[in-house]
Amino acid sequence: MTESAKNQTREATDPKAVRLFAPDALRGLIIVFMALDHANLLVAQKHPPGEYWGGAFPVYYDTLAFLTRVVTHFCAPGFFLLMGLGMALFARSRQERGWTQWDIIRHFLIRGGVLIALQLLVVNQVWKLSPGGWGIEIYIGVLFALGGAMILGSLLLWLKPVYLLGLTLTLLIGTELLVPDPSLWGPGMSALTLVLRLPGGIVDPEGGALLWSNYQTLHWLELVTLGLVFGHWLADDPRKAFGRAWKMGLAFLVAFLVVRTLDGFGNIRPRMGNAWIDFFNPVKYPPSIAFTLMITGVNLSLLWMFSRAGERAQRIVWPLAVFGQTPLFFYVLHLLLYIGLGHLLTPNGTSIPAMYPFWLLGLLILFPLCLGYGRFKRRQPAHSLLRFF
Amino acid sequence: MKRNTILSILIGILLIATACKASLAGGDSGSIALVPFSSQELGARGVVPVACNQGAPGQFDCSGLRSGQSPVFLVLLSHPATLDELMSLLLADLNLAAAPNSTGTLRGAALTWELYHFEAPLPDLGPEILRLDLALAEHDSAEQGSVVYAVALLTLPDDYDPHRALYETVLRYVSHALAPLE
Repeated sequence: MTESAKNQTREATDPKAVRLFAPDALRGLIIVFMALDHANLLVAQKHPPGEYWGGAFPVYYDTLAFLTRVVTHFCAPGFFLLMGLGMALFARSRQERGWTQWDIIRHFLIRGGVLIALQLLVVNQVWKLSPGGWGIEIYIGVLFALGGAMILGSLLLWLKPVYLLGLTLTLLIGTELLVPDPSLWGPGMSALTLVLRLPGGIVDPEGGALLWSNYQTLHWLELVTLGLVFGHWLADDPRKAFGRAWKMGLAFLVAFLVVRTLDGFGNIRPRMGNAWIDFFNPVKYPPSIAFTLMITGVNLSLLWMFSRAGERAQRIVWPLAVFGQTPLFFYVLHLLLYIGLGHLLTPNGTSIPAMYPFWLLGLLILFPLCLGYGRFKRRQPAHSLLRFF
Repeated sequence: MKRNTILSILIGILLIATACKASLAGGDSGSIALVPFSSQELGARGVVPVACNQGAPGQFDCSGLRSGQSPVFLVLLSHPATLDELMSLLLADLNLAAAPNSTGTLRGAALTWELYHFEAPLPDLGPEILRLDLALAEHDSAEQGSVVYAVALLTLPDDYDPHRALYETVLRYVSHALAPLE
């Protein structure tokens, strides 16, 4: 079996269409970690506050609590990276089928718009059902930023990889320069600033928030442009592209160690202490350079590892690929499921260790549903809205 | 394949459920949120837990840090003295004959701290014995001369052990970040 054939799985209904196994498996893995983060919030009610550029910052006195949080850091950066990668592969395959550039851009404009609408109209309403309370009127979450990044990314699809790499580096450094000193955290930020530039919120006098924004498209676009690069490389030569993923991942991790050790530019705010946990607990909102290097370094290495999986290993991690092929379906459904489990079984929360079986129970329930939906959506025509999920 | 996968996940749930018995006492979250603060009265800046409410300058009621009714107080102060002078004042206040040995040293972002722990009834707080975990650091400045900074965590001895990791973490991070105002 050749290297490229080993990394591909054939679509059920279209004999010409093949999917790369490694991106699906990685997406599935980070989806599973995302579910852990949300089970921590909705079932255990022990979710730490976010790692923001200013204001309160979480520290840990229990290793399990930290590990439960840190593995979920792979999710958002992974989603943006894999979205860029998928966009480039999609554009290449559709061009081969005769789509024009405008057809492709229009497809991503609609798809991005659907993600933004889903965040504002559906997901935000679902969050309000959280057993521990929610208290946010308008939430700018990951789907909003993914949608925005998809729309912007569609305009960059035809840039050469070398220019995309330059843009990635510019965004990585440039967006960090947009973040003010942590002492400036507080009320007074405009809605436009919150949506476009800085995480934070407009808090009402009763303690809730009229608007809270965690994800700004501009801060996460760098990962989409990097994903576009890998998408182009994968379309040209999967073996070479996965090899570059490993090398680049290693380079990112080394750069992370340097940036984190120096504890200056690239960290947004200094480490909270000298423990090893503090070293691996960087600012996520917005993603500091240290955060992006650490997480993307691991994600790229995992992408390479999944690409090396033989048939036997692929069979073992196949459930991850099932989740990874239906990410949006999983996203909406898992929120409802863990909210339901929280209300029914742990209305006042529980300890983090006791939350783990609930997390696995959720995955067990979601697996056959995702498997069934994945088969269903592959039978839909190329333009069907159902394929977006 | 499908049956094997489901069976594996079921076994995994059972195994993890068994392991879950060793959970944190009281269902503590394992994390705390620290928020920056700055005080002209203390002449210092640093971080304190979000869950701690400030009464007088530098005095925080931290009972909200964890479930339970026992009081927990965090006190930050600065005093123009040397470390030995402050220790003498403290020993007199606590009716102790000699200072206990330091339990360790902590290198903070701006200061180096000596750590102590006492158990004694504290003046003005009744006859009940309290546990006092104390971090002291001396800082010399051209303007003020020698100033001692102190971070003290007051708990009930019976309450300390079940929440030891939490209390040690609070003292460590608050001390690490405390720095004189420039």
